[in-house]
Amino acid sequence: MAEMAANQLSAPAYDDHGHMSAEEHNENMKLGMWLYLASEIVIFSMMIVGYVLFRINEPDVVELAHSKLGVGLVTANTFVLLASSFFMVMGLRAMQRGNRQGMLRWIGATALGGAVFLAGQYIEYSELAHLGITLGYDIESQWQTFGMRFYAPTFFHGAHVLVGVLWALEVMRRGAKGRYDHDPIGIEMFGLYWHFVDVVWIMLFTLIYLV
Amino acid sequence: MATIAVPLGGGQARQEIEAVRRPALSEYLRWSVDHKIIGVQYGVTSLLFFIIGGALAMGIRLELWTPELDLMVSGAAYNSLFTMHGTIMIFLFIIPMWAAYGNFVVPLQLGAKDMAFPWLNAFAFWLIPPAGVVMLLGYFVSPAEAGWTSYPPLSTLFSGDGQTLWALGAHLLGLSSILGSINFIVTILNMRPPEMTIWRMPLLCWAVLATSIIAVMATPFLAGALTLLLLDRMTGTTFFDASGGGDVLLWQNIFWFYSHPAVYIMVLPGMGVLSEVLSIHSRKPVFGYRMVGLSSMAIAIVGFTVWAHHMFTSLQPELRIPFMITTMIIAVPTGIKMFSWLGTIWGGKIRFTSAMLFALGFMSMFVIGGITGVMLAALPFDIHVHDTYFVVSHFHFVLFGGSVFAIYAALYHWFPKITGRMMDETLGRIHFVFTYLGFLITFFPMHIVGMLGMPRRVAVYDPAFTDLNRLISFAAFVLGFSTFIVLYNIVRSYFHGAIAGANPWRALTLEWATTSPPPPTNFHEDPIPYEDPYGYGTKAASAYIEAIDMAFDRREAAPSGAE
Amino acid sequence: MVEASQEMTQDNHGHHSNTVALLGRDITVEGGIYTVVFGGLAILTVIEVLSAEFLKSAIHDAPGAAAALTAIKAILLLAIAIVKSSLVIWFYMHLKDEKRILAVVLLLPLLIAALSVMFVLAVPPTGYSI
Repeated sequence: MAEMAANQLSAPAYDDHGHMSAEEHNENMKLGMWLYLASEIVIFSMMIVGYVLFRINEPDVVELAHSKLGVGLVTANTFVLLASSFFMVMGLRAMQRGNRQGMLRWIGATALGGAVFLAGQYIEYSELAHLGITLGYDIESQWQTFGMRFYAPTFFHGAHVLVGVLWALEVMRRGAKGRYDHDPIGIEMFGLYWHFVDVVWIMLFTLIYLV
Repeated sequence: MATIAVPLGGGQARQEIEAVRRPALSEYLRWSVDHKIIGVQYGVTSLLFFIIGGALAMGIRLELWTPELDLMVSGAAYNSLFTMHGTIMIFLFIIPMWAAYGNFVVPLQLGAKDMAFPWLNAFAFWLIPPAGVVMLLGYFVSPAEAGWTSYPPLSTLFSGDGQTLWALGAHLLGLSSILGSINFIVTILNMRPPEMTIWRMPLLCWAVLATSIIAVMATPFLAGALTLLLLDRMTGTTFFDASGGGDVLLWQNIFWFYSHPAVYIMVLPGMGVLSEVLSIHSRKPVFGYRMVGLSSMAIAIVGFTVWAHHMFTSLQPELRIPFMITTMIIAVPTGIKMFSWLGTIWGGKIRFTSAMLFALGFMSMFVIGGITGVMLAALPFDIHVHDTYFVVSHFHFVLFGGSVFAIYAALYHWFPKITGRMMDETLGRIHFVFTYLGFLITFFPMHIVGMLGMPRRVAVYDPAFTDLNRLISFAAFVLGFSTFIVLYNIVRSYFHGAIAGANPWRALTLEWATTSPPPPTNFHEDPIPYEDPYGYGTKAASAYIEAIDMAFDRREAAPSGAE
Repeated sequence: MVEASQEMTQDNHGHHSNTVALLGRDITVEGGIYTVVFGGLAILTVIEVLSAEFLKSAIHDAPGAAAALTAIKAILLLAIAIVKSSLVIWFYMHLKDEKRILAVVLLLPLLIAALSVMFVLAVPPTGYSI
């Protein structure tokens, strides 16, 4: 015992920290992820508040935008994102049951859903640009500051979706190598993030497009 | 207590001590995931920025030596000078400095081998050097001029590209702070040894926990506001531009949602340090342990409800009184701590070590800062002294007299653990005298010039204030000089200091139950915490400390009565 | 046989089961509770969009009751959105199986953010009410 400790000390390994049990490690990971998402809640609330202020003060502009834009495309997009969230949790479930191929298929579908959502958002932004709604303030524009107040939160969310899609691909790459066969915590971490992005969209969809 | 818990089996540990050496310098210059290495990296980086920020402060005082412009070419140049001073001291010195102590000490106090997420810990640290470089670069491009608070429209329509770099740098530092704090929360909640319930946790851990909760919940406000500010500056949006349908007050609100809680991010760990240092160096249990732990949490929560007292002159008049009330309420948990410290040292065997001197310095200075805080919370008075040197004086009493004194106390207290060498006590006392007097004579007269009506953030002032300003500047130079004493002490003690041994202060918390410096895995065996982290003055506590001495230093039991 | 029984016990355990008791009936569907929740989310979204469209035309038709209807619309839609979010958090993010501390971690920022947002919304942009 003393020899073992002395051996360890003779070559101080400051990077050697495999000291936790898998269970402890997973508990830490989950708490850490939830705390990270907690901070995201606050950022998103600040992005949203700019829009809500405008919604209250300038209802006419918002209603005009709603009527020009329609609700069809964004509803479809919402369904895609909700479905990808469902695929995500099914992927985790498959891995927990030891079905690696099933997991890869479900997570693949998740990534695809995210990509389709981004494509839909791109189409929507194009339509808005066509209507003359710009990010920068234009004193001539009938839209007043609708552009910035709309684009900031939705683009910020879109950026999160993009990160999520890339993360999903990384999960698939690692999963294909068998990384999660015994411990799917990595998938669960991504799942927490992805569902959170979905929750944010549920709120954004209601607040920005419907209310 | 029926049984005496011995921290280590004595035998094998003795041989191992010889093998423990300080980590090589190269360990500090590369990516490392060891919390002790990262702690020192944080500390040295922050110290570097402290020197830069201090040099800028000397520049400010030099400029204010005369009522006219002399050092600076213009008022705008002076603006960028104090902007950088404030920003560096807050974002690049005090906040990362607490991450330094938190990183080094907290896992050791918990008897853990490392933080919960070692990699994330390293990542959070390595965000700081690039962020600091970005901020400093901004100073040389076309500097930010809007003060550390960066109110629009100063920060949107008037400042140069340096303001954009400022915002980017602050963004990175905010991210670093959030990630670091997540790590602290998880470590403190999940990685205590089974014997250490949350009510037996050292008070520094309580303070770091409360601080981290604030950082995780409040820093995103800053991130959101900075994102909008960057958009305003770079893409032509008008979130904060009233002429373009925006809302100037939105920035002030969001900024202070973050920055008032951030005041507690800067001072709560110092309060934790104080509970440790006062208890250990006066050999008495902390008075009202539970209340001190809970008051940290109370400050963290109430801290979220007081932000608008920074905006008394821009806020809707009806809202002033509610914020005045909440601000006064937050003095209550702070008062609990103050009385706990008094109760702790009352009747203790006080040893006037350098650490203790700085802790007592904190108590005397912070109480002044706290009282001027309550004065400023009183609306009629605040309207009178708003934006004068009275405010400058108040927050320097809190942040220098509070945080920096606590940082020095912590330095003298934990330096032996970090390096294995004692700091030079004589130099430490000289440092204390210069710092204490330099500080008091710098900042106390600022109350007076402030009440007389000298506004803050101006380079040109009424010649009637010249004499007082010369006194302030002279004392500030003494204060600046005192920093070199401690820097010299650090370097000298690192190489020539007396060997510290495992537990030079005869303390009960777990960071002292291992060698100095601790081995890479911190403890050779899982340490058993003493039942009460501050239970000094009992036979059982003496036995525990003697067991540590026996295990690590082969020292014979200290003469009885030392407790 | 042993493997089969393990599969059985795992299947009976919470979210791994394909059978869910819903409104007094057992529903068996691939994916179990997750699929049921997804169905719920989809239905709620349809209800949300339809009621938004319906109320919009109602507001258009009855300008006299516009203010009241707008408020009803906002409250109704937000309530549905909160139910949807809660479903995702409760089932998909497994909050129902986690330690209580995670619920605190979720509620604390929500509380702080909600208070801050309400404050910003309540204070007139100029700082002074005109």
